[in-house]
Amino acid sequence: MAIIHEEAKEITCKVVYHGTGMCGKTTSLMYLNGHLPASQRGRFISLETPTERTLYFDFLPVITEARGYKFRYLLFTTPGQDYYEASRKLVLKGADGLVLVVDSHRTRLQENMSSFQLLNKNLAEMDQKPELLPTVFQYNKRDLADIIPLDEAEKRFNPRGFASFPAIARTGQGVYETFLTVARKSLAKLTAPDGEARMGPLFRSTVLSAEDDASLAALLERLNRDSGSFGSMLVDESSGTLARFGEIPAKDFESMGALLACNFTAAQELSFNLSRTGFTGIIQKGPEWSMMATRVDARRFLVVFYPGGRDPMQFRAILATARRGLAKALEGVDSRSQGRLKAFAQVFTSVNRIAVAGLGGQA
Amino acid sequence: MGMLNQDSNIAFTLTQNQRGQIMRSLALAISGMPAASAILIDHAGRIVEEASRPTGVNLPAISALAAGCYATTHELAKTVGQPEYTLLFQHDNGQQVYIWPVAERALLVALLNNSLYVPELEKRLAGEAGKELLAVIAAAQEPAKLVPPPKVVLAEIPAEVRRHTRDLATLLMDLQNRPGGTFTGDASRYLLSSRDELVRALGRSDWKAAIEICVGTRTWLSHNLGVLEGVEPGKVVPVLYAELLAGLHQAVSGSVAPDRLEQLYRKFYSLSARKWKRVFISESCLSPAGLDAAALWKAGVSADPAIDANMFAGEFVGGMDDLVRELLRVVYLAKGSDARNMLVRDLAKIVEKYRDWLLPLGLDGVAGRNWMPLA
Repeated sequence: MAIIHEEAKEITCKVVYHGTGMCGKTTSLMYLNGHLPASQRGRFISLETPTERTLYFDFLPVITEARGYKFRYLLFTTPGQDYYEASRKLVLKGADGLVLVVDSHRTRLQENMSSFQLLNKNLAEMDQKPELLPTVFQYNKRDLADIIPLDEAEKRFNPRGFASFPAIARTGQGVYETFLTVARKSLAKLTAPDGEARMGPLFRSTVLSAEDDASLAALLERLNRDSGSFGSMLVDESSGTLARFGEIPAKDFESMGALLACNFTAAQELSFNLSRTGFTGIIQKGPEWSMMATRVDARRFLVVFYPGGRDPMQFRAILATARRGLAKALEGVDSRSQGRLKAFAQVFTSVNRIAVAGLGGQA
Repeated sequence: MGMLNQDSNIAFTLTQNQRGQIMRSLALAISGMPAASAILIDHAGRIVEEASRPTGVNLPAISALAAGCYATTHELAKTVGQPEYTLLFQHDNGQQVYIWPVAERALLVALLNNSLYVPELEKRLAGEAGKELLAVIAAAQEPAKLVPPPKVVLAEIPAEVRRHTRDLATLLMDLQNRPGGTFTGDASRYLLSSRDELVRALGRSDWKAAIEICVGTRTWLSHNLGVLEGVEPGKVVPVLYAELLAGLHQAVSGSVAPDRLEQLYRKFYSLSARKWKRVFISESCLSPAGLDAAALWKAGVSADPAIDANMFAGEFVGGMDDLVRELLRVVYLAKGSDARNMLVRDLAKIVEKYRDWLLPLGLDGVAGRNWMPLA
């Protein structure tokens, strides 16, 4: 789900690289990280196991500007190993585009198939039809011996005829093209007639007007003041920051939003697995800063930063009032987003190609 | 040094004595807290030890999620310039999940059913229980191997999985006994990675994945090292069709009366024999239980001592596939196209199992191509 701040002219899209273990997802992101100009990328984060396999996700924000609009593509990889299935589903939440990375070696055929079957299952569990998500196939490891021919790969993996590219992530061949195509398609989905209406509830975009920004900020300001907190953030589970106010202990909000979102969703899933009951919140205690995250509505949560050592139970009632106010405001935002997106689409169509061109694609 | 921890893939190894110390510390941390559990996991989410295992929960999923959650917390701590965070999840029903980092190598996940226990747990972790845990984990050794043997009892492994692992092991032993030069650098790397994956799959009792890894590895060997050269067609082709015909016979005998079925077999036999004269050579291989493929093969090769077994295998596959197609037609007429398609898919799985051996015979993709699912 994209997050669009109308007044600030900021558009945030989430792109997820999915595929079986060791198929080249992390390598693809590492290539982009190493070859995009520093001005067009944020901090690359890799959460890996001691054996260098992705534990939860890798993350790379790619940023570009065109015609006064700022575009952020938040690139994630899912963990490929079976053991991490529970976490994999969480990373997929709210994706605007998918890159399906296929290990072309013939011996990995079945693993690729199983991985894509699991993907479809995970998306179905989130009420999202896989065919509606903008998707690009990256047939990786084309430099190996004994690989499946491209036409066979297309027949086996891509019956819906999504765009596809042969690639060698190690050398970067096809990586850039794949990313540009999925970026373009993710934006195009927003402008497609009924493109959003048919998406699952967790995959619909949020469009915030200047008034929305102001009212959310006012609610956060009041929360900070009444609770004596340093600052607060309203974050979407898909990783975008909707609003923030006060002193946030980080400059890099893309990374902060992504880490908070994944942290919160994992905590929530873990809690559900354990207790099958509602999840109130997560408290992270540090010596100077502590933070508490708590759910606002089905997709968003609130993060409050307060002095370390303080007991958040002291401002529990204030927090509850703020949550109610934010939930109500977001209900209004959601009801208006669809209409706003349509109006926005007119601007967007002209920006679409240019924005991607900013990353080196064709204008 | 005592016994090593047999759990799979944890990032350090423990002596039996250290395991005992960990168990004591975990128990001490939650003692006197009804319905509390404490689990020690490594940073990759693998379970090291557990005290009072929670019931009715998917522990591997919880451990993986806890590790993922902690990894993001650790990054957040770095982002905001904090040395470390502890984590506490709160629930509507008062249940609490407390995650505490242990010596930068492990995580303690404590499950409590009352928020009032949290300060007490924190006190104990700052005291004796926590100190002992920290000391043991800090002293634990790095693993001797990347992937220690899986914690799985041999008797628990299904026979089919054991057969696949045995086949693979036999093949590898054959390879080792070959004169030098068989194992290239690529092959060694591939086999090591395949072995690791297999150990992991067995460790988590994922039998399907274990079989796929065994089959995949054998296929890789056949493609890359030519290790399956010299496969005898007589040990592959009749066995494959015996299995296919057994499956088919079971399907058709459920929908056709026995005497009618025998008539059909004879009819199909004579029809096929017109085209495949060298294959359908002895009607004595027919019985009410169907066609004995192994006996038919034997009759075919015995009839002509000069016969080229590879060439005969090609004919045998052609003839048998015609027969299979006819029997599938019976299923189609009796039960419809869905039932036929379902059966074709089951039969295709049988063919897939034999792919490694069909490959060097030049029959991979040939066997079964006459009876595809209906549109």
